[in-house]
Amino acid sequence: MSNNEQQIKCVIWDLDNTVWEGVLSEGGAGALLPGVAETIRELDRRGIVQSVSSKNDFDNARKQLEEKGLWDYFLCPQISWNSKSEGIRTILELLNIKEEAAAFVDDSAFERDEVRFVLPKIRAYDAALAGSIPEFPEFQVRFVTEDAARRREMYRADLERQSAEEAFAGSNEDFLSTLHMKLAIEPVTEPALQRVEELTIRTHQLNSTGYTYSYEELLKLIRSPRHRFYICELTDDYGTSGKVGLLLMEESEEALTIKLLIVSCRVMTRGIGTALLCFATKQAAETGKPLRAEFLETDYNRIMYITYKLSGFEEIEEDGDRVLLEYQHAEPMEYPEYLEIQEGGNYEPQ
Amino acid sequence: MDKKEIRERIFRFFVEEKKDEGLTYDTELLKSKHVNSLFALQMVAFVEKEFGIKLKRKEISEKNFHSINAIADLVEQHVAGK
Repeated sequence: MSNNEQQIKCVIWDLDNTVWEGVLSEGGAGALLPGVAETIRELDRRGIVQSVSSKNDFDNARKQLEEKGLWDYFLCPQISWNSKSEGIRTILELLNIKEEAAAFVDDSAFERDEVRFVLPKIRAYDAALAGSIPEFPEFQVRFVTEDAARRREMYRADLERQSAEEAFAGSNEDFLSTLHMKLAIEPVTEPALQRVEELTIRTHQLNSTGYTYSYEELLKLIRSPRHRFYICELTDDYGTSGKVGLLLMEESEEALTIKLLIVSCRVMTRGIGTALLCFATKQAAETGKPLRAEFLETDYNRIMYITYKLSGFEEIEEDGDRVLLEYQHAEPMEYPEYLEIQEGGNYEPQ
Repeated sequence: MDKKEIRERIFRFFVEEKKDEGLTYDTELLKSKHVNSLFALQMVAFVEKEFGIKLKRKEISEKNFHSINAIADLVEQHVAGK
């Protein structure tokens, strides 16, 4: 997908003369501008998360947003007298969203330019367009999945988890073991296919090949006797993180080959990619065949390549950006100690 | 820059990130306990930035990253080859 087609995952709003009429610090905030509240609610319904980067006094702005019934829609709002680009950078870091997948709405051309200067790949919109934003192609979602409907709450739990981790004195692994994480790995069934499609479209960094499949192709894959297709859901003491990973393998006479390994960027630090690779090595061991993995280099997925290579996979074939890797060890990998794995029974094609 | 200095700089990075007081130059770094995808990326990015080198795809391997000593050997080859 080229940059312009990449779906927007996060919309960041200015406040004065964008969300409401007037300037809060100079005479107060007036009524909401037409279409804004409808757009915010619609984006939320689609699972597009939202935040605020505004030059204002935090407490006053919060009070206004609460009175207008919009405060709860915004994750980690950055309201201060710092530059807007700085606020946006903080938001994207906290949410682990790339600037390519973010949009900024502001009435001031000067502010939009300032933000674009620092974050050249962000998409900036004039506030006059606020009411039409839900119609633009980059804000469309094909389905509203169960995960999309819960996304704001899942991101909020992620933020709480992050601040708990910052306050935690030990290492990342020690912190993870305090969360009591459970990873349920189950065969993909038809009701889950919309989320499968959504994960392939939304995930760029932790995506081993960038292959996308249509709904019909996915249906064929779950019915195919040669393929094993799994989805996993992560839960912990903070609640569910939703369906966060996919593993598609194809079995041939000579090998079991990973065609697709995808992990949601929201859970990048929690060992899910490693756990799915471990699961794959165990499946391969049961078949008695070597485990291979296709990898196709994209602009974003170097992290996935490094994950494979540091988990014991080595190149056996190379053709430009396309690589075939093979797991080198006789023994399957071991699951991370901080994860409890629940495997959903024997694999049967649907 | 000699190997000793390279090794110490790598060691400091791991101590800071992993907060593991028992860490030695030979500790196995790639046991699942130590590596998730993000940390693996940070580790490779650290080595490239700290020593101003660009690793080839093939050099990112278990063999070269399994311990601080192994990483230091890899860096030393790059620094010496400059």
